[in-house]
Amino acid sequence: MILKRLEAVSFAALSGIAVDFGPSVTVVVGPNESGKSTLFAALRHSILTPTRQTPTTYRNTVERYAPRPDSTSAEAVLEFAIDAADDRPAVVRRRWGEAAVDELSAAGSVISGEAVQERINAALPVAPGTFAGVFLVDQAQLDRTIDQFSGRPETLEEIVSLLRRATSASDGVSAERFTRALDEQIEAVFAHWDIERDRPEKGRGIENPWARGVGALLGAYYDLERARADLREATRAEDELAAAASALADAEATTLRIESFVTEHRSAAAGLARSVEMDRQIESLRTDLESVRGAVRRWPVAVDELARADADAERLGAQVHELEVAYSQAGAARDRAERMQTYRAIRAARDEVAAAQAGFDAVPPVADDAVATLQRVESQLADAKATLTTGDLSVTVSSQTAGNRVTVTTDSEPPRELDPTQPVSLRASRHVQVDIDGVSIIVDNGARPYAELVAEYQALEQQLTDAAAGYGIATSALAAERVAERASRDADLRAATRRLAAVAGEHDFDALEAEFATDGSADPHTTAPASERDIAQQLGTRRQELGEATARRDQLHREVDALAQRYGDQDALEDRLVRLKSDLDALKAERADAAALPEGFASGEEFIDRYRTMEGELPAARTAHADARVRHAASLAALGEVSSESCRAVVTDAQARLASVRRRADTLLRLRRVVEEVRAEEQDDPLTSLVDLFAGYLAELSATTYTASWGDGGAPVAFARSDRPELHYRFLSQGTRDIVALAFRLALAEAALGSGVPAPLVLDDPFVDLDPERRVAAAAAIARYARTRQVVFMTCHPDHADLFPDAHRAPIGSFTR
Amino acid sequence: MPVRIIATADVHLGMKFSGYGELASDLAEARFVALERVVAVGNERSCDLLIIAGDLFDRVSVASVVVERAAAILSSFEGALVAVLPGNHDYLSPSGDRLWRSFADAAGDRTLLLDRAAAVPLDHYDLPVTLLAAPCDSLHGATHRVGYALDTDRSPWPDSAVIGVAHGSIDGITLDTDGVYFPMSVDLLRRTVADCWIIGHTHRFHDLKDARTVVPGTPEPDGFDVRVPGGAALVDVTADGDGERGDGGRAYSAQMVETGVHRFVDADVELDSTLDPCSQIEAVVPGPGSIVRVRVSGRLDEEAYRAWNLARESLLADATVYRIDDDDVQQLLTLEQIDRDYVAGSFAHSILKRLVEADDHDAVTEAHRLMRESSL
Repeated sequence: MILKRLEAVSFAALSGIAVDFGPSVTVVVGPNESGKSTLFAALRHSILTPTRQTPTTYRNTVERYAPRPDSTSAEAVLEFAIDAADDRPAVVRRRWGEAAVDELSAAGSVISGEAVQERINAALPVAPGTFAGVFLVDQAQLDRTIDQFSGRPETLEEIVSLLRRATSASDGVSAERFTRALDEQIEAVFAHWDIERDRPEKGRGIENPWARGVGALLGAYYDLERARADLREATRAEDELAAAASALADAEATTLRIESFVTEHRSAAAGLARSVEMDRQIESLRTDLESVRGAVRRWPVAVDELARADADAERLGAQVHELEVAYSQAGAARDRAERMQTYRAIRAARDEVAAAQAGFDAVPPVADDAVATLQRVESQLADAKATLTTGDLSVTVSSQTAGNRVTVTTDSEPPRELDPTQPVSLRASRHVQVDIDGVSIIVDNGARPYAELVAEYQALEQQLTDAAAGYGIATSALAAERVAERASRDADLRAATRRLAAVAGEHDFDALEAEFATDGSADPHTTAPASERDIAQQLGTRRQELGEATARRDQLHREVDALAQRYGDQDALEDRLVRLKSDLDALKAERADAAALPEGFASGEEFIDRYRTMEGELPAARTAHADARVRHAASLAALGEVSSESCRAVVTDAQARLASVRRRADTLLRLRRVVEEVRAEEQDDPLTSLVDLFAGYLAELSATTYTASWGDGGAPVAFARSDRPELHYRFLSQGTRDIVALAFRLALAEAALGSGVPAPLVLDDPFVDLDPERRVAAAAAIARYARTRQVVFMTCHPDHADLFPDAHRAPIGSFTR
Repeated sequence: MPVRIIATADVHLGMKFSGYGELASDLAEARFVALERVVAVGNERSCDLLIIAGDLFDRVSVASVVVERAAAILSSFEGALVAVLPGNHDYLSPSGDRLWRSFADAAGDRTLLLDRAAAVPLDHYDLPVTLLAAPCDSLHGATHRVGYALDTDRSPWPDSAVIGVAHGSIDGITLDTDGVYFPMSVDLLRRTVADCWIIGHTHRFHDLKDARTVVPGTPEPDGFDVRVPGGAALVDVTADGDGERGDGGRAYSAQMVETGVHRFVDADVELDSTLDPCSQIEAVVPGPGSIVRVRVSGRLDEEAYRAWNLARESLLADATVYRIDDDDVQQLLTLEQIDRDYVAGSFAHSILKRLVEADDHDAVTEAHRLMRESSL
């Protein structure tokens, strides 16, 4: 939007006043109360405030600018161009309040209502809110710039986004537009193409092709597939035709060959058929003749052989019978000898049993508890004895008096008298008794009295004696020995009994006893086993010879019977031989006059077979020939108009085209990747360019290098000069704050205009708190900004206005100097 | 008595040029024109005999109007006889077929169809010539059909020139990798009794003196694999001339006469930025009637690249060339140029710099074109 003119038709005190704007800096200068702020408001509302309002909205916005207290409306007319090339400015007429008017006329057409604001918004480089915040800066707002933007991150984001696009598109190449154009190209190439699988989407080949939106790659692919299909079809049709032609030629040749053969050999075949028959008869007669001749020779020989065979069979039969009798007798003798051996063995076993029984009976039995009882008493007695003898006493007896009678008794020896003059040392197990002149000295080392132990011992001795007497055996050892002896004898008896049972088996001993008891010592007549084997061997040989002789005899019988059955008798056979000879001679004579055999055949029979085969094949060959002719005609009719050679050239061409499209497709994808990389990197640090712009303006305006710290909200919040510590914005001097704010405004505006859509920057007395030096620097910065952009500079200070000597001037009111 | 022959083959009347778009009908028509030129040359040079050594027609199923038009053109030959041999494309069907029946019906008495592999004396046409015909009986054939000419006794025609007429590939001359086009060898042809062979199938003119064989070639090229002018062979057979002599002691001489309407040209052009692009392409166009497929390459600066794109459209629009493949034409852009022409840090600068550094000039070219199209 480039402002051209603003007319305050009825707008506060400015009613009837119009201001024209230049393309660069327009200085609106006038004294206080001359209406600069009202002009600012008229401009702001003309651009941003639609006239369709509720009464409340009207009261809060425009009502204060009604020309008089009783006025019910305010009105302004704004002229603006879209850009520098637009020479037919749009005219916006707006009346707020009663009888509201919202009207925009441009290029001969007039629109009204909500569309007016939409059209105006379209002429702005940024959203209306951002435009108001960045481009319409009244005096009070300048001071609050940093706070204002720190609290409006969305505005900064939009500006930063615009700035990024501006920098990116500084060559006139917009990343968005380029990417869009590239994507359109990619879409045009890859439409319905599955890039990942490198084939048509959903595998839709030419059998089921995509009908619409076919990309260049798919189109080239389809062209190639169609060309290949055409080639396949043409090749198939040509091959089919060639095959049909070949089959037709073969069929024709076959038919011709068969027809020629049949025609050529028809008469020969008829003649040779009879010859073949005669050959067959001659061969049959010859066979018969040979057979009869053989029979004539054989018959008498066979009869003679039969007689000999009968005699042989009879002789061998008699020999076999004799051998069978001998063999039977040898077997009976062998059986009796075996029975006698059995009898003797049983008898010996019975004797053994009787002897074993006697041995067993000779050992008397022992009571069952004898061994245990005797062992127990013997054990107790041993224990009692051990108790008596266990101990180790040593007693020395000496007397000072020679006359004493000293008697000693120990548990191991009976009382003995000692010489009291000779000291004696006594050793005993547990009991020593010394009697000295009626005085007994008893030394005992047990808890129980020795006499008691002796009594107990003696009682046990008696108990053992009684038990031995009771059992009839002295000791447990003897008792055990006898028990063992009886067990041994019993085992012997059982073994003998088992042997007897084994030998006796099922044999009837009584019968054997009856047969052999009276003559037990006499050996029966036996035949040596070897003799029996010899007889058996001879018998086998004779039986085999007899079988062979019998078979030979039977065979000769059959042969002679067959000859008799076939030929009657030998005389009849002789007659038949004569007859056959005669028939054969006659047939040979007839055969000699028959037809000649064609060349190439070994026999008339082979020829006739071949001829009949060919004759049989002829109808089928003719049918096949006719079929082949039909198939060939059909193949010919099915041949396409384009040869396979032509199709091959088309395929080659289509392959080249597809390769070319693929190459471009690959190029586009590579390019797309690079675009993504570049754009991703651009988005990594979107604020950088805004920071740079701001730093540039700040340096220019302050003539000093400030370094700025940017807050989280996206705006600079703290500043430091090289010679001073860093201070928050609000602690800077008023003049420095204005410098910073102005630099930030200019940076934001420049960034916002980067998209190429123009807009006016309206500044309301921004220099009031600046010293003269800074004013000059600020004016220079604004002038530089305004070289390609529009600025409306409002001031009530003529000297400030003079800082823009080349500016378009729009005075309102008049100064009295 | 000398005999003069105008020989051609592989006319392929009725051929469809389906891959050539708008040129197709022109190319199809040109084949008739070329045949007319063959006949005209034969008449101008007072030829006794016109021999078509196979493939007069492109296929056995050509339309009847094609057959009738061919017969009409041939009937204008003023010599004694037109002898037509079926080739592998218009081969003889084993049981006779519509093509050659209708051709025989349309052709006049002075047209002879060589439909049997046999010696054909032409004394009936007052020509001292015996033809040894070897027609094709299928599209493909692994063995030639000229074997009988090895054992033919030429004594029955002591005063005749014996001319063989066959169709198929010749070892060392024709590309027949699979050996399916009735292949013949020079040695085979030399051992026959013919004074001279006229052999079709190979689309370029050859005079194979070792084999006493003339390959007339096609009168009109039929694609980019035939990049020579179309023509016919003018053959003189004499008893006393110079050159190779057959068993009959006759010599032949042959020369090619141009009859083609079009020429197919494949050209490679590397563009020079300093020269006019149209002129560089026009330099490879032999002349009117040329069908030129040009493969263009080169790296051009921006101005030359823009000029090339304009030239390209112009060359295609006025049909100077049939097809241009300029995938290998790239716009030359250096890092210095990018720094000079674009603002450092701008989107365009970043993209182009990255592509140039990657030596991806296809993408540079594409990007630059898109930048021009999408610039603000």
